[in-house]
Amino acid sequence: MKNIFKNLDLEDLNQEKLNKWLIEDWNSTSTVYLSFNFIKRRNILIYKLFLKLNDGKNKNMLSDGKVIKANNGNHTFDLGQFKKDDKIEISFEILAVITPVPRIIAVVSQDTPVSTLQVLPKDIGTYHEIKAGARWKGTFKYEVL
Amino acid sequence: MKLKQSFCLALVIFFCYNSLSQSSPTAAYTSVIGANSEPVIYTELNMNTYDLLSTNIQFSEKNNIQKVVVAPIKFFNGSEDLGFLRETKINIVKKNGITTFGLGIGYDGASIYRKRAGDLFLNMDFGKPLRDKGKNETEVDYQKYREQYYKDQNEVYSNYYEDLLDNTIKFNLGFNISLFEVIGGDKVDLDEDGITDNENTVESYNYSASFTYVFSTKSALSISGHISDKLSSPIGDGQERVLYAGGSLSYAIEIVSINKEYIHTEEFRSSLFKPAILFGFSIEYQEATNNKEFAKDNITKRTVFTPFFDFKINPKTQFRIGVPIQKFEGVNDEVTFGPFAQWTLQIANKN
Repeated sequence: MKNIFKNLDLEDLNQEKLNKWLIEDWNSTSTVYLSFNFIKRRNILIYKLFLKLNDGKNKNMLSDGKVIKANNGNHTFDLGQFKKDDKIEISFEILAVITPVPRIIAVVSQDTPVSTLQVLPKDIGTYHEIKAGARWKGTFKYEVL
Repeated sequence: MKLKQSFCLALVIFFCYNSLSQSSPTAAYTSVIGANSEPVIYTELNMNTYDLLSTNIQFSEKNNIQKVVVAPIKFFNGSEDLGFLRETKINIVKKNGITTFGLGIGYDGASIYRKRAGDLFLNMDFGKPLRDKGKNETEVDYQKYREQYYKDQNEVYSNYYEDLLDNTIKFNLGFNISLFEVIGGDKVDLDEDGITDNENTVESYNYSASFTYVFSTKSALSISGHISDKLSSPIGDGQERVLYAGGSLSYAIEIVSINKEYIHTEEFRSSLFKPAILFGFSIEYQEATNNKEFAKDNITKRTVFTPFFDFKINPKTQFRIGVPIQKFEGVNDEVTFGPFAQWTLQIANKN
């Protein structure tokens, strides 16, 4: 969720200032999402998802201790709030459980400005294939717009 | 003609085998019972398989069979639940000069594309996510942790497969038409006895229903019923069609696991192949119900008991050795023994 009105001055407030603070805060950060989109009725297990920040530290995005199981064709992660020009690096591992996954892509989206990009495989219209029982180990970098 | 047909069928088997085994490292699905559940009387008619491709070539004293069962819809990687259509299969067989074509529809309660399989997957406990290397952890220790992590994951993977198969049912309805060796051309009387030698083209119309209960990945039971409307020869000498009724019961169980660590192999994860030796038996029965005087080889009743061993060494090396004990009733009642060997290939799904 966006952190807005964090510097709001309550002693000197009017509608114009309220709007100004909102626009400034709203535009200062962007929520970034990572989606895995794949053919339905195929079982994927996302058991590793690390986010490397500017400081070089890895953040475990599955930190609630649960792997992600999905078979409805999509799973989206909220990666958090980032400033323009922030550089992030994502590494993940996905297992195709019993079923092969003939088509799967990774897409990164952000809300301010609105943008979406297929990051793996890089060319839109192409797909990655995970054979049954195989693991897809992927890494990519993304610069926030 | 016979040589040409055999060659064509061998070519189909070879093409399917090569194209599929090259497109993926996978090959066989260790279904404990399937296209081989009726090894003698109904071999050419049996479509009791739920694999993408099932082939077998059987050699014995009396029968030489080349057989392919293909589920064509499984070649497509669609996401729709096609139900019965997904299990549509086509049967092509060559046995002692008779060519059989068949079409079957089925239901597979253990299909990986059914809602049950999806729900089962979502309810499995696959453990915790893979963690990052700890601050004070050495690279060696972290690699050990990762290896153990993947091994634990393999265990759950295997459990999911076991749960998927345990106590499931499968059934199949099939229709086969068998043709005599000479199916076209002018009517001829080669021996000049006044009777056309190739008057009849259709040897038999065959209807079947099969039901399989899978106890686990290690054992399964199959029951089938068959009705066949059959002619004994293509010669137009006033013979009548004979209606045969019969059925079979088959059971197979894994007796030896060849590799106890199979769940950690890529072969298992990709094709669910379990290297094992299975023991099983089948009882097949067939009886002529009318026009008995026209029964083929004058056999009106036939019972075959076949104990067998299935050797599932690796996905590309699977074979069966069986010893059918046959009892015939008709003009000459007799009991015969005749071992057979059968080479088998089964491919579960396009990967």
